[in-house]
Amino acid sequence: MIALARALGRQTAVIVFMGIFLLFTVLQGSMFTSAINLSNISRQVAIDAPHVMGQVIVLISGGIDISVGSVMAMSSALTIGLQEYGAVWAVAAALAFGAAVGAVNGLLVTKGKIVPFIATLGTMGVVRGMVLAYTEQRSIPGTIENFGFWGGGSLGMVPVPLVISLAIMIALWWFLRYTVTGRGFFAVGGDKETAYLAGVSVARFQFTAFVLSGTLAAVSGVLLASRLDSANAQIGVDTPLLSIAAAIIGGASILGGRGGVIGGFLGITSLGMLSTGMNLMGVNTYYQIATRATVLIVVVVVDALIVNSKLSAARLPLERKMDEHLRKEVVIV
Amino acid sequence: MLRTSELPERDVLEADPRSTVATRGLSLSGLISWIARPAQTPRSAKTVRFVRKNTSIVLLVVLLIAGASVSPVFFTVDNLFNILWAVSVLGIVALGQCILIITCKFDMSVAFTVGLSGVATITAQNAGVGLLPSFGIGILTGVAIGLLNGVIVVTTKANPFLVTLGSSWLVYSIALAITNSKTIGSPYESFGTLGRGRLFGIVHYSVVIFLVLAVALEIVLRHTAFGRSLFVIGINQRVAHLSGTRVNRTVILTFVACATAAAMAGLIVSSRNGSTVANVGIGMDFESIIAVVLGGTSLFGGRGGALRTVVGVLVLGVLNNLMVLLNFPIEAQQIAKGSIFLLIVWMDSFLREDKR
Amino acid sequence: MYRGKRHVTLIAVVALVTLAGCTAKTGDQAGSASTEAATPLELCVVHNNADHPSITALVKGMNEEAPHFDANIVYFDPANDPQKQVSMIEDCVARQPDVLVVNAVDPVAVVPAIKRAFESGIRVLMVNADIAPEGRQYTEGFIGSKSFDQGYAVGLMIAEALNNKGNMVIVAGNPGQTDTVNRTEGLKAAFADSDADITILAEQTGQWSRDKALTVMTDLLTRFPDIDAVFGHDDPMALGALEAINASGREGIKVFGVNGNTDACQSIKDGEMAGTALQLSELVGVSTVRAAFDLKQGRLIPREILAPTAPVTPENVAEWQDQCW
Repeated sequence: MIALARALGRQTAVIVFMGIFLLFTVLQGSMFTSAINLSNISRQVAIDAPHVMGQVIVLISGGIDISVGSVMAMSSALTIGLQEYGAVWAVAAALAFGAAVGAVNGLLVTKGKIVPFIATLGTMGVVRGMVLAYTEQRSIPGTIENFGFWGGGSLGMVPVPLVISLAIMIALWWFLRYTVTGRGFFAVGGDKETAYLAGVSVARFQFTAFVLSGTLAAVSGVLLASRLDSANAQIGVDTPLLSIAAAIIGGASILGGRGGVIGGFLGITSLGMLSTGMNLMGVNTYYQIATRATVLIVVVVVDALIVNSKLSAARLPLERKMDEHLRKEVVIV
Repeated sequence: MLRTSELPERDVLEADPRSTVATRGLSLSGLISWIARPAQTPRSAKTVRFVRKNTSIVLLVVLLIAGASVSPVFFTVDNLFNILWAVSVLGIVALGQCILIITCKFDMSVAFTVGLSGVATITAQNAGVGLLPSFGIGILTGVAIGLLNGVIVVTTKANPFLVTLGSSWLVYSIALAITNSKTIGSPYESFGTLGRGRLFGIVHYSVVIFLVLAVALEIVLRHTAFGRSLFVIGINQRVAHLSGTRVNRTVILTFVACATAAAMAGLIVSSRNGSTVANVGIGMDFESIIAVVLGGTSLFGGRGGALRTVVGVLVLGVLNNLMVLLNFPIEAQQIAKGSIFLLIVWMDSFLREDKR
Repeated sequence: MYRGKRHVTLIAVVALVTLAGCTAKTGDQAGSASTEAATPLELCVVHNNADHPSITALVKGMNEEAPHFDANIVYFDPANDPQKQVSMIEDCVARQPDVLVVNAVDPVAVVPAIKRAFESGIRVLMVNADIAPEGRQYTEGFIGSKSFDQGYAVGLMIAEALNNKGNMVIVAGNPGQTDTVNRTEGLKAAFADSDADITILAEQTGQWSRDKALTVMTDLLTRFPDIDAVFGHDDPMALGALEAINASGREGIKVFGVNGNTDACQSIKDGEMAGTALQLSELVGVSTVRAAFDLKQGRLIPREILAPTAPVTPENVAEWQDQCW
């Protein structure tokens, strides 16, 4: 019984996902579960999924990345803006940009010893400025025929970006679970001091996590550029907080050491279903925002309660880990 | 970070700072390591320590000097007072955020609390409530939101960043629903006095409130048991609890204080415009954190102060003002602000000896 | 722990597949292409940003006209995010309305989505912000006032007020938005057409916020001792700029806005603001519902139904004031 409760506690993502799916199936029936609707939802979600998965990785390693929205905007701008050199080079440039910003974030955190929240807050502003400068504050239309296939097209009823995102998800899942490098992220995020003592290069993993996050945000940007077939400086403003919420719903912990890309994917899908379901029902925007807020708060609160409660047999080691985070150097004020 | 043992011998022997810079080249790291070099005399040791501890004040002074030299209108009483006036709203929000950050927690809902308090106040006025009672309603909105945040965080031990993120969306939806996305105007002419009026005709009321609040908060932080307990909670909540502090109650009070400060800021901003809209405070969540961090308060808790936050807020205000005076296009403004922020934070981190 | 986890995931997958399979078969689109006048007119409206008085007026116009045509209207608000707008357009398409009404945040970004709407047989009307030229083939028409025309009207007003010579500043909307870009371009075009020698000293963003316009204008006043006119891209910002001017004690600066808010019109009447371009947004809302009804009946509608932009000045404010919103 306790084992089941514990297992359920770890599966927030699945529960939320199932719950929302069932809710809207009951409320809306065939309109919600129709192939075209599910296809729409999955397309919308698939475009955001890469940056959510990037956020999951950064969270696992104990950091946070608020610059994802700006990186997404800039990479989508580059994808469109550089189309004269051919789609392949444009996409490559966009991905390289994402990786570069990730590297800067990584350096700020590891070498500059700046807290990830602050470091990525800074890069968020700088990159947003770059987007405004590059697009010259207008939207740039896409010029390559059929580029819209990657973000907007479908193979049968299955949207192309979904295929791409699922492939990325499976690759990352395997990487995080079955490779030493992947598991290193958990070690670093869960307990930095112990990881360091165990010989794990904490800095290298933190750095890599940010590079991955930046690159994945760029992937989202490329997919979005393809779907909109244009670039605009206004995109990605809400994205960072959304990706954090999705990752948390997906089971990641803001303290690090926990989480999964599949959970993240389910998390963003849950939010996407919530949004579309309420749109289909014609629910007022105000209630939609309130509902999204409630879902996040409930998930966070329930998660905290479970972690802190007696149901969690992992409590003792985890509690020790949490004390680790609470313990700071005593600084003379 | 440089330690004495790491410096090449040459620099230690070189007493003339200019030649140190010259030998290392005019590089940023050269400059930094010059600032961070071990002090040769007690007086320069004090200066170096001062610079290390108060990067933001140094930056403010640098900006003021730079501003005065590139723009003839910058260093005038009018302009400086305008900067204070413009920045007083964010400043009050930042002060509230500051005491919360000292306890090692964030409040991401301040931006929409600013909106909701103004909305509640003006809606009350339009419903016939008198001017002063409507202020009370606005403040109460802040208290309520703070209580909500504080109670959830304390009882469930959930992460404050995430909880306040959720509550921010909730507050926003309420404000939107009440106003129906419209701008609502105040029926009282005199409502504008708070935001626009000047004390003795010289200093804006909002600036006075901002500065008085800063001083009051600083006194509380440094000279009362309550204030000191905030620092301890920030460093190690367990220890604070064991040493007798009523941690839960204090944390809830701090959330309430932060949200109330945001509510007050909301009153001021809606007063100075005679109207308000649900998203008037948008962006202030990140901006207030930026101001607090710029001022030197540590995000890990246990270090910081209200007056430091004032400096951080002033830095932002001066930057904004200068960029308009110099007619920077918006993209340059964003890049400049972000870069300066990162530079300061990096320098601060580089110069501090006691860091993680 | 592993076993429990696998169990939950397995149950989830099975349940999902079963449910999807059960309902998908009966998943046909609600509301097929019948054009009986007896069924209500289903409208799906996607705003650009509901958080603005002009949209509130538009909605008011639509809601008031709706009962006459037995119309059910649903509104979506992407808050200026092009990505969200595209998602909402797709969600609207899934609802299979009679007519889809879109106010484009980004004229180019909506093209693929509207193309898909067109391909699934839904008629599309653009309101206030038209789709980019390459997408016009997928829409039935455009209703509204163009932001370029609004800027142009203000440009003419300023040129006349300043006798074709002077200095001015612009307090602009969010960078990158169509309205921001178009209104400034309209202004400049008006100056060019009138051969006006008016210098735009600066254009700084007020982010559509009255308070931000206040602080920005204060700084612009500090920088430029010689300003003759101010153009705020919308009335709230114009009023904020006016506030700043009053606080500074400077005189003789003429303030112009766009929208036609009641506050602005009253301010013009009181001799404070110098003019605004009245967007007849309620009228646009009314026309939209009517045009949608015509489309459902299978009638042809004009390619562009332009609501005139009325320049409101102290001279003519008396006639227009009751149209201000």
